[in-house]
Amino acid sequence: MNRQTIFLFFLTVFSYGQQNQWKIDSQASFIQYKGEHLLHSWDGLNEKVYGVAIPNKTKMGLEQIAILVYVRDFDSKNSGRDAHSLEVLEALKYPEIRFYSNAIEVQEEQIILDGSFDFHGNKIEKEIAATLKQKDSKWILEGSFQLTPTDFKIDLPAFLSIKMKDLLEINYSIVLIK
Amino acid sequence: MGYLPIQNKYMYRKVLLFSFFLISNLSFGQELELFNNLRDQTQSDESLLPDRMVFTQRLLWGKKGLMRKTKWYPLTKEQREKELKLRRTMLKIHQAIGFATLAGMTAQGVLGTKLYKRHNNYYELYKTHKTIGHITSISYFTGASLSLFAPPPLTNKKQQGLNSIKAHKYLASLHFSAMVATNLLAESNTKLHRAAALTAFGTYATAILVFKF
Repeated sequence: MNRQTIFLFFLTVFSYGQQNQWKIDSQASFIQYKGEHLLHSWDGLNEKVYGVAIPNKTKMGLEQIAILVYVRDFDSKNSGRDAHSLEVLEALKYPEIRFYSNAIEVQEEQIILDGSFDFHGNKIEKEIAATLKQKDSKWILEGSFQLTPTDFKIDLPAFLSIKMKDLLEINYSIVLIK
Repeated sequence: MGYLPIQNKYMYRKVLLFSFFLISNLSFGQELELFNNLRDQTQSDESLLPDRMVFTQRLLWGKKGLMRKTKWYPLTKEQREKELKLRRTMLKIHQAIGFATLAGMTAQGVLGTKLYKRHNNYYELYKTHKTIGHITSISYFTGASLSLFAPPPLTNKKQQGLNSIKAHKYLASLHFSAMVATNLLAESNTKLHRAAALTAFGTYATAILVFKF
């Protein structure tokens, strides 16, 4: 029994270690958020998107995807606002925003990622539908979705005692290199 | 013969339990490992202080600032988290005091114009103008101190072109100078006092208008 389980353990670990990985092209990918307040709206861009995907061995598609961005890398072209965002998001305590999915469905030109967001120390399950473009050795995932900051226990910033809208629109383009 | 089936039963349970443990650990472990690998491949900015900060902030909160030298506020991650909370509180009060100061300035504008036109009850008006003037000045300089001496932000990126925060800062240096001049010229030169006060009010109101969080 011991020999069998040890063999099984090493086989699984070894096979995982051997998995081929696709990398996210950090230079070509971006994630953008759009925020709104009664008086104005703004957006911030993050062009340093890191991540990997593990292709499915048996069928065309992905088994897993892991995406990582740092809150410090968002740029809204206003240093005061960016600094304020880092305070609101407690960037020293929670420097990362992570997305992970291991339930991925590919349907011709669409890809559905059922995964979880880890943001501000809170994990939220979310299903994301992206358009999928396949170009040579690249997969390009594009789309948009919405996040509710208070779901992640983020204290909404206020101006003139009016809080910003509790909704962030996220636009993204993720380029995976095989 | 009766011993073997019992042993098999235990073994079966053990294998089942171990498989469950292994699968759940591996799926969670895979996520963890993927992110750990990613972190190894990336470089995140972990600096505690911005490269640029106002001289008053550097004096107090810089690497060799007064607060660091006294060792009351050592430069650590945990301490900076507290400082950023303090900063947020100070800037919220700065914002509230800012609106109160604007109200005081508006009242002073009305009273000052009446005084300039030698309105009836000149002495009464003068006394009120002086009192509100003192309150507005105290409020203004308190608000300014809260901004100037607040712990620095985590980042202060240099950006091209004009934006609301840059405009707010440029206008701040204008209304600060005008406010000092208004106080210095209050008794000695009424014409220049008025000009300085109007400059302070105009630039101050604009600084609030352009400001966005």
